[in-house]
Amino acid sequence: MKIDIFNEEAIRKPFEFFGLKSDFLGLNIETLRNTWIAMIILFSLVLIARLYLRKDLNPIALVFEKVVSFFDNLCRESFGGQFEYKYFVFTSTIFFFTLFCCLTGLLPYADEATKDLNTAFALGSMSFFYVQYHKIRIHGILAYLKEFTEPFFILLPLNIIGEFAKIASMSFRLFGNILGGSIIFYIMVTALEAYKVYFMLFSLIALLIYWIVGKIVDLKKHKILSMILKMNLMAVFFVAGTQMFFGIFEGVVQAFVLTMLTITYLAVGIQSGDVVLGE
Amino acid sequence: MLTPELLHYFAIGLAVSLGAVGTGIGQGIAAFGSLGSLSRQSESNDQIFRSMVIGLAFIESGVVLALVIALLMLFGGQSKIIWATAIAEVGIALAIGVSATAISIASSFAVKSSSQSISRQPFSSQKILTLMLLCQSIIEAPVVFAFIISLVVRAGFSESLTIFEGVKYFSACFCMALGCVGPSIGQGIFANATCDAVGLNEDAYGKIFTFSVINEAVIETPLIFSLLMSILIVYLPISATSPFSHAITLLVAALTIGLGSLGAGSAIGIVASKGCKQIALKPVCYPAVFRSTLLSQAFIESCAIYALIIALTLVTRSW
Repeated sequence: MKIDIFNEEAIRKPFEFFGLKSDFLGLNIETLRNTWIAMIILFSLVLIARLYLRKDLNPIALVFEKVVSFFDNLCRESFGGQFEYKYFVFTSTIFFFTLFCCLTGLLPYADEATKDLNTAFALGSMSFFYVQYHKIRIHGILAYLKEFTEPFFILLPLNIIGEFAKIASMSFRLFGNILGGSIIFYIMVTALEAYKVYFMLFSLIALLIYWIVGKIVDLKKHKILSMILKMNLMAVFFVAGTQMFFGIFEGVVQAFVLTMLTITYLAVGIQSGDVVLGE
Repeated sequence: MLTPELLHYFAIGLAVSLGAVGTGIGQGIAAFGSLGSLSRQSESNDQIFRSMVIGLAFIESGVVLALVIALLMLFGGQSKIIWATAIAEVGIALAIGVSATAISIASSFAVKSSSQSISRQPFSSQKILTLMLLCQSIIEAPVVFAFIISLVVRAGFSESLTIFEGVKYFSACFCMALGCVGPSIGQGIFANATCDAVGLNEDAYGKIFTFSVINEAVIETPLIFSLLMSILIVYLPISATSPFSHAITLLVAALTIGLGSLGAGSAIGIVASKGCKQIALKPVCYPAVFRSTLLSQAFIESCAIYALIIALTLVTRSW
């Protein structure tokens, strides 16, 4: 088994034809494919939402409205009086793109797109430069530059390093978590592959026994018996549980943390000096 | 007189005894807390007794995994003991022993404070038990990771193992052993606070539950970083010509990520526990407390991330 964080085999150099052979111009073909899968899923969800929102009240439209209003409320609470509609658009886009890039790991023959450091770095630097742009737009370039020399002028290099460290911490947090989860799942599947016949037999027998015993005895009265049977069932769903934790839960939490950090940096950055907290 | 055999048997003893220390302390703390709350609220002895028994079973599982590894090392069918495997076995013993100790002490605090909460709020004992089980099952993660790493390392043993590979395996296990201490301290402090908070204000249970799920995932981040490093070190391809200082680099990388996650893991746990208490005392402030907790955790976590960057650079360096 070979585990490598920089997958050299998947890198193509499309501009080699023109004599540009630098490593900077290389493209990871697998990451590109996974990102496109994520974007296609996201776009088809948008189309479905558009189709259903035209009709009158129906449950599917309600789900989409609930998700959108959750983000709307989150942004309105965080920005307070300085809320603008475009902040909501940007932050929710970051969230859904990151989320679907993490969820592509659940599909067969695909991996998480955020497993690649380049994707995570792009997301981190995108949110960083967005925050810087709006800081300049609101305060003006002079006040923006003056902020780096506060509280003392000596702290200027420290402030600049601190700002750029934000990109590193944001992108490496996403990258490390997703890569760690995907490697754990990979090792588990590889280990199970050697014993897959026994595992499937065991799962089949455990399910059958649970079903048959459930027909004969009332499981609510025999607590110890039901506990033993349920532990066997848990072993069957162990792989699915790991996939649930590292594939779905980790992805949602990391996407949410990235979004919340973007919102908070933006809200702290654009507020003027004398703002009253809480409306 | 140091021989490979001596080191081999030393490792077997170390694995179980290190795990047993923490399990003993942890079960003592858990039983102490449960008995204290029994004397305070003796009408609800049934619920408190049940939570104590389930909690003690969870605490026990760390030393059970250590015992499995020790038996595997003792009867694993290893025909010839050489220096390289002996060094790697000391690493395995450190990884499984230290992680078992750390998780046992951490999960004992969940049992202790949830018994106290049940004695305060006997009618919501089911909710408190659910929260305790969630906390304990997430606290278990380090020992499971250490178990996986130990099995992977043990599967790589062969008679033609060089000293270099022995040191490589040792550093992978050492990384896991150091890396699980900090997050376990943080998880223990946080579990103590969150089980206590439900006892203070059971109406805020939904908010506290969401808060704990997200915060436990954030506290676990340094642990996942050290697991990542440890797996990268295990599967690092080494050439026959690389100098011995390459092995020292791996040891340094393990030390970097282990010590980096120590402070970050515990500090994130302390921040989360304070936030949890604030939510219990004033549930109205939930969004503000949540935001500020997450932001400060992000800043603290940066330390672990810088350690990860340095360790990644050390490991992926070409020789």
